[in-house]
Amino acid sequence: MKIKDTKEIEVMAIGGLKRLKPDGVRFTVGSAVCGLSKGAKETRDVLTAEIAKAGLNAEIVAVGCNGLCFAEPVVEVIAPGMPKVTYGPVTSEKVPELVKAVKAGQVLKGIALFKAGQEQLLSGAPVQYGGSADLIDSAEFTPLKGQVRIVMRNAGLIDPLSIEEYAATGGFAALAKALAEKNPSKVIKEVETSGLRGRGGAGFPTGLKWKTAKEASAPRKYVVVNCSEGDPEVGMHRALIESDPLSVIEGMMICAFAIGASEGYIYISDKLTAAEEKVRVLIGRLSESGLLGEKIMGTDFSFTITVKRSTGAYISGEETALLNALEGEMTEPRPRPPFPARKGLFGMPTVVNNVETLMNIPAIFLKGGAWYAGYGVEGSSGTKVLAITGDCERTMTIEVPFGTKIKDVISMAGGVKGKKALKGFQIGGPGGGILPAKKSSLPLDYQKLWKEKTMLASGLVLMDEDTDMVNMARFFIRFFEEESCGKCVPCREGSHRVGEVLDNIIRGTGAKGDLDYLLSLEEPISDTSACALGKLLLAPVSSTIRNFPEDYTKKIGG
Amino acid sequence: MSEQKVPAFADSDAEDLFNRIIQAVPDAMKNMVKPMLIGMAEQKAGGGPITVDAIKEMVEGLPEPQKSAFKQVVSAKKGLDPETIKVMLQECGGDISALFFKIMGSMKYIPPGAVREIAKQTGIPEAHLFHLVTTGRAFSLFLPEQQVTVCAGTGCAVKDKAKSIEAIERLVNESGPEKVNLKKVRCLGCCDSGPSAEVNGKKVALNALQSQLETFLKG
Amino acid sequence: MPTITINGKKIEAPENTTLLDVARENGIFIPTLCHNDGLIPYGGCRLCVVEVTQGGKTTVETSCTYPAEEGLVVKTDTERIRRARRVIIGLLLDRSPKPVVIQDLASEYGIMDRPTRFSIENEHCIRCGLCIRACREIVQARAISFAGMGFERKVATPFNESSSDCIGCGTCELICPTRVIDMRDLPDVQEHTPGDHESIGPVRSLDNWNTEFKVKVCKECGNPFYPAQPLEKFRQAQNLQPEFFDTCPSCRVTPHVDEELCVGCMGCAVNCPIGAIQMKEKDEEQRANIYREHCTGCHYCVDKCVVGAIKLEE
Repeated sequence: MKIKDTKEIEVMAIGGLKRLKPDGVRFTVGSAVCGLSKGAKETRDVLTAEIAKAGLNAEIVAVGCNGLCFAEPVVEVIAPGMPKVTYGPVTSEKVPELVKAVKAGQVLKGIALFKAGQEQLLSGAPVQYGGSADLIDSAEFTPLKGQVRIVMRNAGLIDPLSIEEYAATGGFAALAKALAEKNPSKVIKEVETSGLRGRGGAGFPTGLKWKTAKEASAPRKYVVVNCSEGDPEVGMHRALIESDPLSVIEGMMICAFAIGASEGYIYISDKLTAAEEKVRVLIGRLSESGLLGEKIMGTDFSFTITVKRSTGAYISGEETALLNALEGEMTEPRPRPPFPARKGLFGMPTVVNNVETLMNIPAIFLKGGAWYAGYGVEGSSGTKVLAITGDCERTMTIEVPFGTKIKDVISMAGGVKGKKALKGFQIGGPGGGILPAKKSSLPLDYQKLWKEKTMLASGLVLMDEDTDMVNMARFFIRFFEEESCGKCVPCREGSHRVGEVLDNIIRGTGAKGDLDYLLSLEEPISDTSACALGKLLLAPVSSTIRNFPEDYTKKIGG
Repeated sequence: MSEQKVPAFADSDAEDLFNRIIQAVPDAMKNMVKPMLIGMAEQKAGGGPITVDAIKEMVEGLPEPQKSAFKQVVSAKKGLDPETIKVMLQECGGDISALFFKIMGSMKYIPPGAVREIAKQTGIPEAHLFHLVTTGRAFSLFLPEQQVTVCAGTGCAVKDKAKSIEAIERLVNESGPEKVNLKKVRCLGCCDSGPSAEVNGKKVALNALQSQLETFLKG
Repeated sequence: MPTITINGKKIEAPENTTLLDVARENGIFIPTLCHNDGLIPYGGCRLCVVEVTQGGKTTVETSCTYPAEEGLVVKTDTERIRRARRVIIGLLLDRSPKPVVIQDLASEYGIMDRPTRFSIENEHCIRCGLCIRACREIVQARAISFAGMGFERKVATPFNESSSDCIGCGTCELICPTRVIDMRDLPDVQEHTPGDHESIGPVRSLDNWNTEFKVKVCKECGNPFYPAQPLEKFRQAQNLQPEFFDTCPSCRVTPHVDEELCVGCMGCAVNCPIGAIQMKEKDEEQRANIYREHCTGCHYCVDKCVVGAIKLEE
C-alpha cells in the first residue's frame, strides 16, 4: 500500500499486528549471521516440512538476532491460547518434537527457555498472548534480567524485511508525528532533552550535533549512517541492522527532517553483506510505499538514501575518513576544524551518526526525551547495547541502562567460561585498553569510564586467568599496525615500533628500558596523532603494563 | 624493427586470450615482445592456426616472472574487456568503489589492465585508482591459489589466546602471499563456537588450519 | 579580524588564516616538514603542533591546519610540545637518519647520537606527501600517489611501473625535503643489443618512478629541450600544428603581418591566447600588429588569418 498521509501508517500497523498475532501459529526462527552459522536454515527447512506433515496452520518467519547467541538457533512460538514461548537451541533434529508439542498445545521442555504473556510496543496497546504455561517468565530468565530493550525493541520479534510488522510495533509513528507537527526544532529539543550521546565511542551529545548542522546554512545537507563496524571484537552493528534495519532508516529520516537534509548515505562494512542486502531491498520497498523519495507521507519532506559499501578498513569508520571515502578521496582523516556538522560531505553540513545512536531516535521522539532520560544516570542517559564475547559462559548481546555495573553484565553472560577466574576485560574496543578484574565494579557510564582511560564501544570481552596479557597487547597493536592509514608520523611509525618492542619482549629479547620507552610514547603519540586511532594507539600497551605488570616482568626477567 | 605479423588464430577465444596476455606486457616492451610471443605460439601450434592450448603451452615454456604473470591471465575469467568495464561502470553509477567490488566478485582480484581501462574511461588518474585499490582491504591485485579467512576478531583471539593466528600469519608471510591469500576478518559471526576460520569458503577449526597450511605450503 | 594570543602576545589575525600563518607573520618560528605555502595544508608530519586553549580546554593541534579564531590562546614551545616534537623527530630518525633536514631537527631538539633500539631501515622518503600534493595541486598531472597503508605506505606510480600521466617536469624533485627524488637528464643514451648499439639520444630519467622520457631535440639549434611524450600530449590537447614542438622556444619564429593583405577583421587579435596582437590605425584603416616581446610563437594567428596575411617567412 502507498502511504499518502501521516495517518495512514496506522492502517499499515493494523495489517502488521495481524501477522504478529495471527489466527494460526507463528514460528519465528533467528536467522541472522549467528543463527545461520548454527544451522538456522536447516531448522527452517525441517520446520517447513514438519508443519506440512502435521497439517498445522502455521507460518515460519525468518527474524533477526534477539541477542541470545548462545541459544541459537532460537525459535519463538506464538500460538492461539498460549503465551509466546522462546526455545533454543532448536537444531533441526529437535524440530519434529517441537511441532508435535505445539500441535498438542504444549510446551516442549528441555529446550524451552521462557515465556511471555505480552509484547510491549513503542506505541499502542501491548500485544496480549493468551493462556498459561509452566515455564519461567522472560523477566526471570537470568540472561535477560535487568535488560531494557529500546534499541533492540524489535530484534528477533519482527520480520526485518516487513514494513507492516515494523509499523505494527510502532514503527514510522515517530516520523509521521514529526512530519505532521512540522516542527524541526521540536525534534532537536527532544533529542537534546534525552541526553543521547553518540554510541560510536566518542559519546558526543547527539542533540548538539544535530543543532549545529541545522543552524549551519548551506544549499544542501546530508545525513550519514556510520555502519563500517571496524572494531575487531564483534559484529554487534551487524546484528542490529540485520534484525531491525527499518529503525535505522527511520532514525535517519527523522534526523534529516530535523536538520533540513534531503539526501542520506548508509556507509556499510563489506563484512555485513546480508545486512546490506536487506537495506537495499527495503529502500526499494519504502520508495514504493511512499515512505522514501518525493513527498513522503504526502508532505513536503523528500529524502533519498544511497547505500555505499566500505572497503573494510578500520579507518573508514573514522568520521572524516568516512566522508573522504564517500567522496572518492584518499582513505585518510581530514583535519578538524572544520567539523562535519558544519562542513562535511562535499563541504556541506553533515550529521554522521552511529547505527546504535540512530536506532534510539524513533523511540525518543515518540515517547519523549524526558522518558529516555529517565533511564540511566546523570551524564549517561538511556541504554547501551553490548556484545559479550571472549571467555564468557554465554555469548550474547544485551541492552542495559547506563549505571549497570560491568560485573552484573558479566553475570548475565554466566560469568567466565568453565568457572575460571576473570583476569581482565576489554570494554571500548582496542582503544579501550584492558582493565583488571577488580575494575568490573565500574558502572556503564561515559564520564566514569573516560576517567579510567577507557570508553564504551560495542563490546565487552572477558579474559580468563590463562590469558597472556602481553600476547593480547601484541594482538591489538598488530590490529592498529594493519589498520593505520599511514598519514601521520606518530601512528604510522609509532604503531610499527611499538609492535617491534613487543615482539622482542615476547621472544625473550626484551630489555629493561623497554617498558619505560613504551610508556614514554603514550602522551606524545596521543597528542600528535591525526585521529582517534593514533590517539588510542598505546592504550593496549599502557593499560596492560600498568594493570598486569607480572605478565611483562616474567618475559623480561629481572 | 620487424614488421608486425598478423597471426592466424583458431578462434576468437584464442585471439582474446592472446590479446589479454599482450595487455599484461609493459607498454614500453609490447612492440618487442609481441612478435616473439606470436612466433612461439605458432611453433606450439605446429604451423597451424594458434589455439588456446598452444597459447597455454607457450606460457608454460616461459621463464619467470612472465610465466606466472601470463598464467594469471590464462586463469582469469574472460570479461574485463573495455566493453564489459563500460557496462559495469554504468551499473555502478560511476561509483569506483562499487565497481572494484563488482570486479572482485566476478574475478576474485582486480587485474591491472582493468585499473588502466577504468582510468581511460572515467578520466580518474591511474595513480589515484592505484591508491584506492592498495588501501582497500577488500581488494586484491593478484589471484592467489588458496583463499584462507581467519577470524581475527577479539573474541576468537582471546579464546585462541592469540597464538594460532600469529603462527598462521608467520607461515603465510614466509612462503609468499601469492600462494595463500590470508584474509583476516573481524568476526565471522559465530562467536559462540570458534575460534573460526574458513578455507575457500569451507569452515575449519583454527588449530586444524595451522597443520593444513603447513602441509600445503611445504608440498 | 580575530584576535588571538600566541606565546603571551596578543595578535590581530587576518580572516581565514591558520595559526602557522599568523605565527610566521609575527616572527614566531614553528618547525614544519610537510608544509608548503603553495599547497593545501596536509597535517601529516605533526611537527608543527602547538597547544591551543579554548573555552577552558587545552588541546594539542597542528598549527598548519588550525584556523585562527577569536579568543584562542596558543603556546608554541612548551615542554609538552617539545616532548611531542622530540618523539616525532625520533621516529623519523629511526627510519631515515641520513637526510640533512632530519639531522638538523634532531640536533635542534637534542636527540642526535642517541642509541636506537631498532634496526634502521635507512629510507630517505619520510612520506611527507609533498611530491604527491604538488603533482596533484600545482602540476595537476596526478602521476604519483600513496600506495599501501601504515608503515608499508610508499610513494609510487601505478603498479610501480612507468607512469603515463607524468610529464617529466621535475616538480617532485624540487619540492622533496630529503632529496630522495632524483631526476637526471642524460645527454646520450646508448641502447645495447647483441653485437650492436643504437644511440637513443638524450633521455630524462626519473628512477624513483621507473619512468624515462626521450627528450625532444630542437631541429634548429640541436639542443634537447623537453621530454617528447608529454610535449606530444600538450600538442594534441591544444590542437597545435604537428611541427609545433619541433623547434625549442628560443628558436621559435615570431610571425609577421603583411599589411598589404591584412583587412583588419581582428580574427587574429581575438584568437591570440595571450593578447599579443593589437589593431593599429594606418591610413584610416585597422591593421594587425604583433608585439614580438609578448609572442610565444604558438602560430595560432597564422592559421586563423583567413586572407593569409600572417606569415612565418620573411
